[in-house]
Amino acid sequence: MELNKKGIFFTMDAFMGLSLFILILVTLYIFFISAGTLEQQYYISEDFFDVFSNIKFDELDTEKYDGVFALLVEGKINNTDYTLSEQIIILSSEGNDANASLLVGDFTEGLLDERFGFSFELEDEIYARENKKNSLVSRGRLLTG
Amino acid sequence: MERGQFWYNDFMLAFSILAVIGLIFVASMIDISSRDDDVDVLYDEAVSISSSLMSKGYNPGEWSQLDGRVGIVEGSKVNIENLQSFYSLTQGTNPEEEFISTVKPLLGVNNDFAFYFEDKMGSVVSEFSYDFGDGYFGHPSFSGISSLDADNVLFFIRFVYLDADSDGKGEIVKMVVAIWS
Repeated sequence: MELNKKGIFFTMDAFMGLSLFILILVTLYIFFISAGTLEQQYYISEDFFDVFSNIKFDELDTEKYDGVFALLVEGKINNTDYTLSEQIIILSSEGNDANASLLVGDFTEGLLDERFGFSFELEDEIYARENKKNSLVSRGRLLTG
Repeated sequence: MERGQFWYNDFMLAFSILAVIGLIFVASMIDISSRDDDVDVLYDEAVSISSSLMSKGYNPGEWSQLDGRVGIVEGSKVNIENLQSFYSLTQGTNPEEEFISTVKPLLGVNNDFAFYFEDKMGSVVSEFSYDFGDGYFGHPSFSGISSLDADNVLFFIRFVYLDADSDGKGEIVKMVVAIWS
């Protein structure tokens, strides 16, 4: 039997090519198909909720919070016995979203790494610090004010 | 064989190169997998440590006897008295040994760790109503990120209210838990 001189593929070349292909697939699987944990983001959200709900205005050192100091001086914050979240709600309910945003920014800026985006919403968005979203954690609580 | 599919020497050379690449690849995968496992353990312990610290704690006077539960935060506020009890655990004659024999078993961790408070300006809080040295807690030889010499290091962040000088006025700070292996 005369062998066909025009072969379709060479066996060993095909074997090596296939091996290389499988190696690349395994590499892709290991490096790219993985989901990071979101625990850090979860705890950040919960901690801010806890702090805003537990800490009162008269417990803050106003020298370290320019926004808070300014609102106190302007008389926009009258009752320092309110918690931080209560005061934010009060300002927002009075239509002072800008001042509510100022407070949230004053409390959080400098504490969160730049890799984190952050937003605070009371029905509508009060404060936002944008960042590229690879993943999102959303936490909600029932607050009173 | 006038028109061979391959030449033996070329084949052996190519196969050898492929084998070397394959070995390097497998070694790398094993190393990465091992490091991932180490990082996973560090992460779990960092979360555990931060959760313990964020609790109210129990029986701080007996922590040195491995009794009670470590905790320094109550209602989002750092309890300076409990913090002082924790700090005093490694202020004896042999701080390193005290850290290994007392602090790590109390928190149920195997890796070395430390924690500190950082304000919104990025500065480590070191001025307290008690003398806490440079403001680092946990491993006695930890004096900041630059002092670390470890294969794996992980930082976990929590947020608390800290009245460092106990004058009734404080601020929201970052509590950074650093753990390494």
